[in-house]
Amino acid sequence: MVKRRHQKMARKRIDRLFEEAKKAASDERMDRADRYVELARKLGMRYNVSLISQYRRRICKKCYSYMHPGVSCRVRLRDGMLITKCNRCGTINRYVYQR
Amino acid sequence: MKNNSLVEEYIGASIEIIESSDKKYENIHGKVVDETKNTFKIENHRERIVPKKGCLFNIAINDSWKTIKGEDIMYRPEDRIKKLG
Repeated sequence: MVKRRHQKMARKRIDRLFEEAKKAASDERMDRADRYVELARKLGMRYNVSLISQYRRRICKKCYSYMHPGVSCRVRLRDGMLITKCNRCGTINRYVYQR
Repeated sequence: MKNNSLVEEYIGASIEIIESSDKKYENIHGKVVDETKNTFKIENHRERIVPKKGCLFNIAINDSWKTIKGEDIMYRPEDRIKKLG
């Protein structure tokens, strides 16, 4: 039960951190947004909580920077795929979407 | 959980220092923008790094102010849940 309680708290804090990361990225404070992602990932790893898919898509798969469309990544839709390019490391992430 | 406010997320919360062993840190208030094991980074008009040790903080958690002793939260932010929860 202790574990469940810890995981519940960790999830709450991860939600909070992504909220703050979004705010920081809208102010173009990418250093802060990246730091919040780092903290959120650490919380997830420490308490065995996986980040939900909405959150995973906001993180670059290679350099783990926060991806905010128009600020730190480019987003295109093409052939049934959502393609994002990270502006920091240039990695292209592809996600299939349902038409 | 005995004291729930010790394991909450402090980033983004309003904070003020009501007492400190070093006078220059007293009456600083603002928003927490970063946290490490030993320090808070507080932004008001400029960023300041304030040690947790020796300070008494007032932190707004879920719209209510909680008084927290710096010595009680001297852990890495991700370790705090396990150590204190």
